[in-house]
Amino acid sequence: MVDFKKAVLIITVIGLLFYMPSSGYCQNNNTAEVPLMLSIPPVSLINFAVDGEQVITYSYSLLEPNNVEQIINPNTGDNTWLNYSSIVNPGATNYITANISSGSLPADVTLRVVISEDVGFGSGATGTPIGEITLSSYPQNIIVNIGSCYTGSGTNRGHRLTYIWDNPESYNYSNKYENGQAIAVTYTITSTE
Amino acid sequence: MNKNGLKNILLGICFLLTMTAWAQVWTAGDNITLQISEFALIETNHAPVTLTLATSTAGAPVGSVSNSDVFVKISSIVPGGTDRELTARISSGSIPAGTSLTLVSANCTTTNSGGALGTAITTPITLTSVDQFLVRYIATCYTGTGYNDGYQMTFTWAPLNPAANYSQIAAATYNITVVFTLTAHDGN
Repeated sequence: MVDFKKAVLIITVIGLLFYMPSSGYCQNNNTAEVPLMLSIPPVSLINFAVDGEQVITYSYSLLEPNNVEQIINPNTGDNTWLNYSSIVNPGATNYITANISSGSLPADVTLRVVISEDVGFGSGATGTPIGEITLSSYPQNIIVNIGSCYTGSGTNRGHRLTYIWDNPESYNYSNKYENGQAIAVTYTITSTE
Repeated sequence: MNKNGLKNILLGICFLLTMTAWAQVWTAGDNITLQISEFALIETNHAPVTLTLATSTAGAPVGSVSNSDVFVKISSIVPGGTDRELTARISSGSIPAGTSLTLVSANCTTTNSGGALGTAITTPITLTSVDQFLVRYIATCYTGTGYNDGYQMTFTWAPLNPAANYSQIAAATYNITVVFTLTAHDGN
């Protein structure tokens, strides 16, 4: 009887040897891998939108998408909205500066700009406005600590800019504009990297 | 039963097993046995997939982006009354924070295919590390072997609930591997 049990065992093993390769063969190629590359490049785009038609604007968005220029006059007032989109590298932020990029002010005229909080139309880590600066030909920070965010495009989106002219009487806007000496302010968005 | 008798029985059984395993046996009566083993084969067209989240408008969020270059090709034989599913999951890498990657399969192309090619699920799946169904009711069929034969896959990558998560999006390049599986037939 011991021999018979051994025989059953041997038959079973032999049977399995024949059976296993055939079932294993069927499962060989039932998966396929696809590699994907997902890429998020840094983004720093800036533009402005103006409520009304009294302001002439230039945008350099084709050649230098990270800066824009606005020609302003004493009537510009608070009709300008700064829009931006930003995607940052880990650990970096973007910031926005402003400077007078063409024209010059009479000695007794100063030009200030007040930067409001983002109105919250968009989403993400929108920047912190500095509050108010006196514009000069040197770039000064106006909005800092911009993370990955977007403000929306158009008026009533992003940060409202309010220009305040001190002694504007001595600045003859129409004369300056016709002679190509109008005051232009350039806004630039830059990464801290 | 003596030892020699046992050996003879063993030899006889082994001989019989060998004959059935080789599938085609001519016996004196000219009976022919034809055997079809069930099998499942899967391959892709190896199309490179590169997706980039970007925007060109100041103030706008990065938009969603899609790629439909990958075709999955299969050959399948199943035992009667059973079927397989085509599934997908992420096997390496992870989805960048603040975004989601979805995948949807089209029904199999018809040009070079035949058989029971199944039904694609029309709602895109959000890819995770767990297999999810793309196509169901695949039975005995073939898709064709051409570059654009098979099930066309559409990957879509987009910000995930940007109102809440947009600040999590970080500039970088992320490598991910997606695995397609043609499952064992459901009679297994």
